[in-house]
Amino acid sequence: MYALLKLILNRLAHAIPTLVGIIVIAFILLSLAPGDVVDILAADGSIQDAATAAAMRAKFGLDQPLPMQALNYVIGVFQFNFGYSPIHSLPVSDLIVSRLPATFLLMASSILLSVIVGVVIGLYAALNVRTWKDFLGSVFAILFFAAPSFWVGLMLMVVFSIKLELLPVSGMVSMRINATWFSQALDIARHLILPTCALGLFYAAIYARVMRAAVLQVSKLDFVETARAKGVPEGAIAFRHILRNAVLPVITLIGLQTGNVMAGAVVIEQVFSWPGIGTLLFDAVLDRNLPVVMGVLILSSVIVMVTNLIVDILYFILDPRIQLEKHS
Amino acid sequence: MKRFGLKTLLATASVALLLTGMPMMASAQEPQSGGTIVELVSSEPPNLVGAFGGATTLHEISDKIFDKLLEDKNGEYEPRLAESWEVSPDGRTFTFHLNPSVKWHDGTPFTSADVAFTMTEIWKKFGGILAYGRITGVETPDEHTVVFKAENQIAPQLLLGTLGNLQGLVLPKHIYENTDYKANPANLAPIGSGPYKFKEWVKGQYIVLERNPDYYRKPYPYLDGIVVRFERSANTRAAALEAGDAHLGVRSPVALRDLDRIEKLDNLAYTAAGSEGAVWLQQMEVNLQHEITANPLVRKAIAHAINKEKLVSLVYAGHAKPATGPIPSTIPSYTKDVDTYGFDPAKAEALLDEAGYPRKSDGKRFPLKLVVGNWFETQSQSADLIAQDLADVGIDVTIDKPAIPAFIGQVYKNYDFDITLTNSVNYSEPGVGSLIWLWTKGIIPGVPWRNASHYSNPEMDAVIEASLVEQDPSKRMEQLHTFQKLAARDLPIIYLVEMDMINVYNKKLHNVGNHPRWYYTNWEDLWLEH
Repeated sequence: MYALLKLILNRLAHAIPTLVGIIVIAFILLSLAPGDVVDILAADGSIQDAATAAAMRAKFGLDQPLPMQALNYVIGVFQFNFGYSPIHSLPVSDLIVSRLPATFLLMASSILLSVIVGVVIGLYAALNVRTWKDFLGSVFAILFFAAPSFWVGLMLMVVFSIKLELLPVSGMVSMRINATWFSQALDIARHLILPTCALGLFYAAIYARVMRAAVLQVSKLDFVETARAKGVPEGAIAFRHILRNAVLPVITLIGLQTGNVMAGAVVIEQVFSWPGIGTLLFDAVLDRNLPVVMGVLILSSVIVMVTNLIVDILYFILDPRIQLEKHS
Repeated sequence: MKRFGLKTLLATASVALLLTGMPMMASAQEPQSGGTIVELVSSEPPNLVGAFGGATTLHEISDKIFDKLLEDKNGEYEPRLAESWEVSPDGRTFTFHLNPSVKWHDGTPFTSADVAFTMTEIWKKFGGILAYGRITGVETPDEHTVVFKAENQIAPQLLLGTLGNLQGLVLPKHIYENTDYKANPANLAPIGSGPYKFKEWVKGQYIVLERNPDYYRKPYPYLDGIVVRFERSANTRAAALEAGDAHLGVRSPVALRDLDRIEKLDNLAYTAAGSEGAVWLQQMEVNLQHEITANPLVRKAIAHAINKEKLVSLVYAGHAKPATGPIPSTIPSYTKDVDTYGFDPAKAEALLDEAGYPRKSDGKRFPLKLVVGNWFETQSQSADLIAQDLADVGIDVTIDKPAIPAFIGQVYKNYDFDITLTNSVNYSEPGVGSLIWLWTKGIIPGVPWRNASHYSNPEMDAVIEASLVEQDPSKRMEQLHTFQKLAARDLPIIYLVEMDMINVYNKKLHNVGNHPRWYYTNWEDLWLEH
């Protein structure tokens, strides 16, 4: 337990300078992009003369030198002040908090789907290596690895929404529902299916490939042969001995790819009009709404850091050897 | 429905028919009340108050909630909040008699104080609108009369055409007085006087408008409600319409190449009607501050070198037509009697030779930087086609497609371009949006959609300024014709095409596109068959 606590504290100590670094670099890079939010406000007719534009820039702090702006921002972040979105007339933290649940739901369901589908297919393919079942698994993996997720999303939409009329095209809720808690949850679940598949199947394909390779590797190791020699049934070998060892690389990947899943969610949220931070980020980038872009970036960094920490903890629990190495 | 006789309804229907020339089938049926429709829009507006200015989607929604003094139907003015009005013969006093039965959505009576407040505190302060800038005094002799005074004359069409357009939405004084107008919470939950009341805004997802039962124009509105859903992807919009999840998308909601497929579906239809009085032009601003493009021969050569017909057929799939000048062909003050520049590469080459830019040994004459406002897919495609056309006559075009904020800064602040590809929206009254592009006073660094070409011609300025004050409609028409002739002669902006703005809708929906500025109007007569 002590070792685990030490690990967590160690990671947190590393996290703070990393975060400051991310904020400063991102802030400078984003500020270098030509055009700012005042240009955007001017474009829709809200600003009609040069004096108003200058006054607006002063109001949003855009007239200060870049290092000053960056410093002010970093100080603000550590006071949990993520700035103000001039386009929405709302604090950035409110905007992000309101969008976060939808994105978490989509990410969680996609990761869950990808892990279950990927692990099952990978394991199944490896246990039936070089048969038609294995081949079928490979076809699945190649197809969904190669196909862009937005295209998969559109194709799912054509089949399940337009042709079969089974599922809604987009959005998160049906608006005409006068709903009880249960029917609302059911409604959201129906809307969740297609985006989850579009986002999750890509990662399922990766996990299937990794899982298959890991199972094949592990199943050649001595302890598996030993178990087999002892007369342990094949099913028990597969689950107790092989799966637990083979799943480690998959877990590593999940940790590494949380950031990618978030990036994928940006695209998928566009396609399915899922009201998460992906759509918020997309609009904010187009509008040069720097405070919102920064807020989402910081949030994503924190999420990736937290996921990596969780992966480390899982390692700790799944593979006692890692614990021993740390102790020695 | 039940409250009104068949006669009224038929009369309404036939008036609508006469005014718009809609297909017989659609309007011949008796309108039905009730039903809620789902409309898809491509972006989420920052707020819902169009009176401060703002982007297209904002206005499309705001115009259903708020109301105007009058409605400009391509030069014909219909009463709305004002039952009647008089213009003094000297063009300095405009008196409006307001409808006494109008109430705001919160039940407060609408009075002349609201109009006076909106004029002095909102219209004159935000939006930089030409007509309102010329109003110097507002009087409210009684609760239902409001008088606008101007020290200098105003052309009646300019003021009425602005009040009757999307710049004319009246705000409630009791909500806005003594507040920070742009930070007022009512901007996100507006209280208007129009046919639809604001009900709910779920950020990132949709806005719900519901029927205003106290709307003063009976029997409108027919619909129980409108749900405006934000749908960013054109493919998803097409799928949602096709699956019946949504009833309507305006301003070309789907890719133009999808329209042929949509036409064959049982439940959907599309129409280009409804934007005759709010026309989107695709145009090329030419930088007159640069030596090569300052030469009129070069500008004429460019105009002759671009194949507009090919733009129409290849980029717009036929849903556009070649433009001739700054005022589009469906606007009452349009004239086709201007210099035109047909596709003629040989002539273009001759003009370029004459201008002193012969082909060099590598076959090129000079380089030009084309900066593209890349908000529609069609913009980017047009740029590629135009670059090819210009390459054929020896002009070496470099295409620059910056992100939208960068485009605005590059073109309208830093003037870093030779030629651009952009769009303008041109209304029935040219004073609202068409004149400023070519007026010396339109050269305002940092403010987009103005005179970026730096065209400054005293003859043109005189015509524009005369049209702002002219009292005689026929003289004003002549001035606007001269405006178009000068624009086509001098070519500071090369006008490419008039774009069709397509409405895609479920066939159960009726009265789609029945107003020359349809998507900016309040849809009081839109109805759903059920």
